[in-house]
Amino acid sequence: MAKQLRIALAGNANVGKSVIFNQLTGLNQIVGNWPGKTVERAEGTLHFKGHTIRIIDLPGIYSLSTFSMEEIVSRDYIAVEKPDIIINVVDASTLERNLYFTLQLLELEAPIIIDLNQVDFAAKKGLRIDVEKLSKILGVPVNPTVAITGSGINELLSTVIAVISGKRKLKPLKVKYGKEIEKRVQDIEKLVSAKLPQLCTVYPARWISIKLLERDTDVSGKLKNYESGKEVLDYAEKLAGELETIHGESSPVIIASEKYGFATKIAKAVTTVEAPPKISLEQKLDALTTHKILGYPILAAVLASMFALIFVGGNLVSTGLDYIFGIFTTYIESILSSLLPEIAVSLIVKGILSGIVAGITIALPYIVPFYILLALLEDSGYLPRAAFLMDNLMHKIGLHGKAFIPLILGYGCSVPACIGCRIMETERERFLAAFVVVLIPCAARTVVILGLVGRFVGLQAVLALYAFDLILVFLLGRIAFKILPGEPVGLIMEMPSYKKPSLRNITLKTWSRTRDFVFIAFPIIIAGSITIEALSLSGLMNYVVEAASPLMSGWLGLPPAAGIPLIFGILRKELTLILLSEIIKPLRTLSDIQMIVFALVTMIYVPCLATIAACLREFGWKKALAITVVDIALALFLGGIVYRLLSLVTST
Amino acid sequence: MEGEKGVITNAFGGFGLVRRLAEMGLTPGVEIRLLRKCPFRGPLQIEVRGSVLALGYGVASKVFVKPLKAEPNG
Repeated sequence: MAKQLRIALAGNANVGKSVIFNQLTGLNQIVGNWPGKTVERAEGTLHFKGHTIRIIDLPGIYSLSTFSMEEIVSRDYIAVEKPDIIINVVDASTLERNLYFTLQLLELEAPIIIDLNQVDFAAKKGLRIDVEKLSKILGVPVNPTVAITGSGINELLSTVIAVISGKRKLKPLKVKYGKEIEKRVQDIEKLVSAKLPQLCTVYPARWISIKLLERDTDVSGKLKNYESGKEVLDYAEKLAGELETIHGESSPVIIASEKYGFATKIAKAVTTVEAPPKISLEQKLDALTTHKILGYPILAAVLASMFALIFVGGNLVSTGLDYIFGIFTTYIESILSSLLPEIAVSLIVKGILSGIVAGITIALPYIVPFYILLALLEDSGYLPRAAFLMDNLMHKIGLHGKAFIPLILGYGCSVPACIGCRIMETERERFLAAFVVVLIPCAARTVVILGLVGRFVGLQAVLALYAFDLILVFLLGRIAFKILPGEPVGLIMEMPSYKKPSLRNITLKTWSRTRDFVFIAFPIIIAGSITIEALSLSGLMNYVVEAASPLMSGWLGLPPAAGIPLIFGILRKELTLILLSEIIKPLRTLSDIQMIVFALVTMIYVPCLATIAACLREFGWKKALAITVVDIALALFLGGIVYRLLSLVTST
Repeated sequence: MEGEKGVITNAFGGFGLVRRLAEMGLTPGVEIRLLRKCPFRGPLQIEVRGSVLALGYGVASKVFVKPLKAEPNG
């Protein structure tokens, strides 16, 4: 058996790492055209020419300094876990910025090879890159690829094997600074090697020295664990001070400047501008969609048409499927009745079968088109544009434009949206974003809103619910922003170019999300249906209904039995509607107001179990509990108010 | 104004912000081009080091730029 190799993919945000990862492993790592999508590292295995290779996709970052969790995660993974090879994915169309990151990897003395990705896109921009020359300068192999088509991937793997087997030697470039910095780095390095031999077995001494000179808080924190750490820190502090007196800038800026200067020099040396860049369709589209005035109606139109499509299409399919499965269920029921005792038929038909049917007819028709459109939105690169346009508004709730991305993802599913809040820079921002994100009606809640209110009450009521939700998000966001201590952070975001979404990617993504939905949601739906059926058969249902009655009918004006679906809804939100449809038959017997109140409560009250778990992991139990409690209280409170207001309005 | 080029002279603000700007390539002496600007103290987009960055108004107002041609700008 050949030994297992570990390869990490590292690089800037949005350079195509996830696409490469999928090409290598055949897994469906979600791919999207917006920076910060891979927030957790993904892993997969690959077999190539007798080798078993473990591939780790690290989140995309701009630097290996400590601004965000991802950066520390990636840095520590590279330094501590020491993968056999790091494939540094470099975007050929923005070489300079990408090389800055490459230089940092070289400083970490990591064994890297370069995957020069998106060479087709660079060529479109009129840029030709001399691969040989780049490889010679950096002292490591450089492989051009077009990840999306898979071109160059095999060569990339062969290079990896050649390097690991020692056939191809790495002679990595040493990043040298100007005299003033270089001398100080070397001085600190001497002290670091002498005083901190243990730390030097993990991180290279030169790298520690550079980081100390940059006043990196994470590295200086590590030093505090050592006895002689303070001495080294004081010394580095002194030298950093000297450097700042000479240049009149803070030391990290001085060092970043020099490193960028170095990256620029390399990029210039290997790039030929073949044709002056023409104004492409993508650029025209970019200018239009981020236009200071036109951009906003376009954004509104994009989102509105998205929901209109889901609403109309979903409704049509849902009604049709409902009809077909209705006939089917009656047919099965009549067959089973002649074979089995009544109680078993009841459990099978009303429990299992109607659970499955409800899942298919109520949930899927809305969820699938939603996933398709979301994939399109993600892949095209429109999300960062929307984020740009929304920057001002998001500042009103103490966030910045980037938070709009998890917010939109929240319409799909709250779980990735919550994790997606990691693209925000500080803990405070992440929590604030997650707080509002869970209030966004996810696809499951959309199912309830469209499947109940949309189908029986009308589009206007649906729009009113969505509008109400947005106002709520804004108001609560603003309140939370005022309560939470800390300074808001401004927007700094790279804008990716527009790309034509690939059909394959969209299909894959829609499929993998739908599959997750089917495999995770359906068992829960079925289990929930059986439990409810068992409860009602055994007569236990009456006790629960009675207990919930004051709240349900007294305060919310709903049928007392509606409390049960709401309790089960904690597992999955679409379960509320599916179970409601099994308890109250037909659903039409509910009044318009009852439907609206039910949908409203479902929309706001406690995010589902999976979301609570995601919050728990991201923010700890206190904050997760706070979100949960606030949402339940809010939903019940608002539900009662809305019930009373609507009753008042309709009676006059 | 839009389309205008300039050179960054310096950025002021918190240690973290200035450093983040530097890491994103906005270091003193680098040439930038203003691509577009949103009204009402909105964000703007600049081209720097071959790629496009979006900056919020608050961030952008902390970066000082010496225009390469004619009139001064924020």
